[in-house]
Amino acid sequence: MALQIVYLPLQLAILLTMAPLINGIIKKIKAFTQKRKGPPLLQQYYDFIKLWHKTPVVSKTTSAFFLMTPYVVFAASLAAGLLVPAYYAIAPDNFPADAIVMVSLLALGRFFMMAAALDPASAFGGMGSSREAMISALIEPSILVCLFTAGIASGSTDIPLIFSAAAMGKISLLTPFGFVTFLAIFTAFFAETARIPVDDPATHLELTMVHEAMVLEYSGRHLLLMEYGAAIKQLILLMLMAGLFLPFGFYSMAVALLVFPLKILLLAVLVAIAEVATVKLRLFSVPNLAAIAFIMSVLGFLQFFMSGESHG
Amino acid sequence: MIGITAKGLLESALGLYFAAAIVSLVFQKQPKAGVAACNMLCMVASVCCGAGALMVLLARAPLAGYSGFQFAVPFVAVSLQMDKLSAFFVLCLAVVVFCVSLYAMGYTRRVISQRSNGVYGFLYGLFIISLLWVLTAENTLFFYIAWEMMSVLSFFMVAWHADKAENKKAATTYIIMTHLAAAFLLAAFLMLYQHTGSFSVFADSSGMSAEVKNIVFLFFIVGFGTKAGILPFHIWLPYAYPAAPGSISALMSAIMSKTAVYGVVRFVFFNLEIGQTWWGALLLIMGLLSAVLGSAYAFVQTDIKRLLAYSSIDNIGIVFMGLGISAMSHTAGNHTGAFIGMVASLFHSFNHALFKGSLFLSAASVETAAKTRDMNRLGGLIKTMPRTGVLLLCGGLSVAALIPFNGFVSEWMTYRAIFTAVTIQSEGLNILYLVAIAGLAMTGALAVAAYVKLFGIVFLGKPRSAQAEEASEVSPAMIVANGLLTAMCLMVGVFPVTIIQIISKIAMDLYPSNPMIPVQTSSWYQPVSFTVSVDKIAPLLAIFALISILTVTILLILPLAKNRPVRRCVTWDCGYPKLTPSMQYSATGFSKPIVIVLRMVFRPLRKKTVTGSHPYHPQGIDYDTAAYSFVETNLYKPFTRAVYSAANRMQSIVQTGSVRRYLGYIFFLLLLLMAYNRMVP
Amino acid sequence: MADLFKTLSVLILISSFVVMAGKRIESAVAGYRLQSVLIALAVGIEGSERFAHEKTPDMLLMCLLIFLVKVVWIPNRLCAAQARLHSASEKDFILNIPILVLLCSLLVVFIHFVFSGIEGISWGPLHDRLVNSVSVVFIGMLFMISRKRAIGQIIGFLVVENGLFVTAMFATGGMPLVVELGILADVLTAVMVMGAMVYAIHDHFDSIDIEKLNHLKG
Repeated sequence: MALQIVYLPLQLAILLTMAPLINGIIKKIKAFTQKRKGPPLLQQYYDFIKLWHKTPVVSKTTSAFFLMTPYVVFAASLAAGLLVPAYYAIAPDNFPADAIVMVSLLALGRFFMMAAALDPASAFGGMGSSREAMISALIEPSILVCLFTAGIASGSTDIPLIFSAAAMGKISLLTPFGFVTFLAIFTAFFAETARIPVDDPATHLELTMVHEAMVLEYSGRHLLLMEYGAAIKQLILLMLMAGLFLPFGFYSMAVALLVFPLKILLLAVLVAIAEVATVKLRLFSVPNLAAIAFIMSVLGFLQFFMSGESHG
Repeated sequence: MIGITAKGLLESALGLYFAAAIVSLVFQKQPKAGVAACNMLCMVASVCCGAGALMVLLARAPLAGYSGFQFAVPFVAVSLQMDKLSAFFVLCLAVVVFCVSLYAMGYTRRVISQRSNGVYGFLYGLFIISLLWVLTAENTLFFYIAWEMMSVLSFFMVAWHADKAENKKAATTYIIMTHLAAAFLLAAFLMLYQHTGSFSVFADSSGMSAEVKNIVFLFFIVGFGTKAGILPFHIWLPYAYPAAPGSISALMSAIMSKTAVYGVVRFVFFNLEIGQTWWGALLLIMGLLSAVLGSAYAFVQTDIKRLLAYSSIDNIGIVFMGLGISAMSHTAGNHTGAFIGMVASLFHSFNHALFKGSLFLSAASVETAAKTRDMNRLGGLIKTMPRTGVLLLCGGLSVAALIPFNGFVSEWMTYRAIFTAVTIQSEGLNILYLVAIAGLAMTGALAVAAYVKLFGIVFLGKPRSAQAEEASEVSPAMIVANGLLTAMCLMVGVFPVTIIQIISKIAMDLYPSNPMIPVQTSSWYQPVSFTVSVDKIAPLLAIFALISILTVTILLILPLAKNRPVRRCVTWDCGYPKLTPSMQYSATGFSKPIVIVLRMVFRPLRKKTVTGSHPYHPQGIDYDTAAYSFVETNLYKPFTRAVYSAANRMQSIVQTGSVRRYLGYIFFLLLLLMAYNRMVP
Repeated sequence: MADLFKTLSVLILISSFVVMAGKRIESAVAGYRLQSVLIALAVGIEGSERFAHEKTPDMLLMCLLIFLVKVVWIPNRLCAAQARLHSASEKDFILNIPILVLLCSLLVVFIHFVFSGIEGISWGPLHDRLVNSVSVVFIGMLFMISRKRAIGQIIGFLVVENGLFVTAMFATGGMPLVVELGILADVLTAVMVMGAMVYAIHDHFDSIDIEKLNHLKG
């Protein structure tokens, strides 16, 4: 019980320290596969420090809403992150860690980011925002269906409870249902985190930009918060996958917390490999990807009922 | 007991509304006094009926039916009742009418006064009375009369600006659709009477055969579904809501569409009692279609009020989804699902009344200030109308089901209801639930997009026209009224327990055999939780987390950042010297990607005309684009076309104009009837 | 007495056949005059019977009125109209006269068939009388349909009215005087209005063929 007191500080620490690291890991692996050296692992920390010391330049056209947005985006991501425990057993009993609350918090961040992109009255912001609207509308169903399936399998939509059910073997990557659901979430992950094949985080080309177009007008500490928020969101999704599909190593709190970074690392490697192995899709081919993710999420749901797992 | 009774409050509210209507007519020559008196009376009346409704909701015993006035016609009496269900909807009405009347103090004088303020107030008062009667009628015939009264009065309101052709068309479509629907209702009521022998809304339908119940159910769905505007009966709605004056649009969307929800719950759930699984499935499918397509169409609109109108279709769809899940779970014997579904659906009705009322008022404010509703001519209003901007933002966050606001709680409950409804026993129905989850998720994402567009295009960026540039903040009464609704959205979102407890009493009335005690906690600030499941939601805690993180971040960053103040500069322009407002994304362009992706649903029209002789050196290119509702183009258009061509053919074959032929029709009809009479004893 | 009425009802029916069989308008009008005479006779017999028993002169008065209006005034007026319009020569019926008469007799059979299924009048003298008089109504309608020229419709209408009157008389032993007077007034008005219309049609189209009216359709 006493361990539950450390839950919030622990979560905050994990989210704040690990989030920028993930980007470093992924970039490093991508560079490795391309026979490049790549930026140092801690590059995003350096970027953040640099951004912190810069004077933010803000468009004259914008309103207070534009200045408020980075804080909301960051806070919403972090609050959502508190709902996805790194180690489920230390989540407090009455903690309201509902999966849909998490989705809604992330959506709140997205709402502000999309709206703020329209504030500087530049065509880039509108473009990113309008593309984000399309992509999120297409991807959201897959994510919720996956969460829903996991919820059905564990009898709850409460994330710590879903994780503990997974730890008891109710969701397993080795069953058809678990595997297909994982593939669906994994596919949706790329759209949610603005990665290839949906978006290219490395370019500033208006034909391909989505996320970058939205934060184009931000600079200094505002950009820091926006990027930090995005990094935390990416970590949350990885933690979600880790909790659902890699439920091992929960012998004690110490072991669990040691194994946890390894799981995230494993997923990050997978993400990097997948990103290298694919190409950026045309914007209007993204619906096909979304369709694949959706079909897999539906298959996962059906598999759950067909393969008799529901009876076990 | 001497003192205030719910009956007395209800009667005095009716009297006061009537007085407001009359006063408005009497003071026609002094518009200032007339508007003020009429709206003041309406506000007092709303306080009365709100108090009455609360008394019924918090007390144990319902307000029994009684006859206020008996007409000479048999069965028709002004007989009113107010049980918990009615009281709940009356409470919605009271809250919204109070705010709308306050708003109208500022609004009416500015906008309506080109025409007769007196007549406007008169219709307004009567419209509220008809709404109140619909919600409290004890007798189906009186219900029907009140329903027709409501339809006709709202028709007058829709036709208020009928000098514009599109408004005239809107009013015509509205009156046709609503009357068709009313015919179905009347048929359903008469069938109920035939089989139960009573016109009471509490008639016991246990003696009816399943076939008759099925038909009556379908009639109710057509009748109420049209008023609610669910697919495929929605075609009037996106035209009628925008055509009405601002405060009336708010009332129509917030309350009038709820009368249909009331009707479905009252007659299908309480009266017919859910018979078969397909009833619930039908409700769920129609709700799902309305939700997804409603939000998709809302996203592509460029007229503020039409966007809100489509969004109403979306939200009513969510309400119907809750009802469908409740019905399906009930037939499957799943008490939890039935219970949560009903609570979710009624709660969402309440929330929708609050936030859509507020949003329509904001839209009216924008229209008053900028003299246009076309989003492609607006922009940057937050600098001149900051208060309205914040209110519209909050309304948008509520309707997009984002976390600190009320829309989230009821949508979460709808998710939970679907989650609870999925069981191993339900077999194939699980697919339907799955589709419902996916649809609800897509609806949520599209609603976020639609309200980003509404807020972002209208309030952020640069003004796209001179009118938008010259707009100024609206009067304090309008801000306060709208602010009240918004504040309630936030209150209900943060502390939802009290209202959920009230609603669960209604659900308990509906499913008395339900063994569980619905809401576990008794204190108003506690998380909501259902004893039957281990899950809980505490918006309060999530909000607490959100707000504390936000505060801490800001408090940490601002002092440290003091030595590096924000530097203001022009928007990055890629080196191009002059960015003009027309280089921003337009409202049409913003939703273009979705239109292209979902072209099956939108049937976009694209027309490119190139002027000039040489193809490589055109003098100008005209590009027209528009998105049409496929229900309208693929369902109603072919139907009306078929009716017209059939009528034309009839004219040449049957209706020739020959007197002798007409005589022949009469002659043969007579012979046929006689023969029929002989053959069928 | 019952036999007398039965005979009269058969005669009235036959007179409507005569109306139908008339090739020219004049002969149809003559048939109508004959039918009206027979009706007046029936009313007169019934009326004198009543007067003998109940001392009520209503029916006798009625008889007189019918004679004046239906036997004298209306037929004369119709003949006058026909003379004024001089449109005697053209063939104005849609089917051959024999076929029309055959149809009429089929109608009588049909009405008999229908009435035989109605409780209370499925047989007996009342049945026969009602079948005959209702048949008159239908033959009148058939006449209206079969004639092209507007005067034909007026005659058909009058036959229908006669049929209804006879039916009412046989079924109830005569309606109250006030009602009968009202109906008679209606018939008078109708004949006057329709007569005026016939002249209007003639002036407008140079013909009273009602098929010309089809052009008026919107």
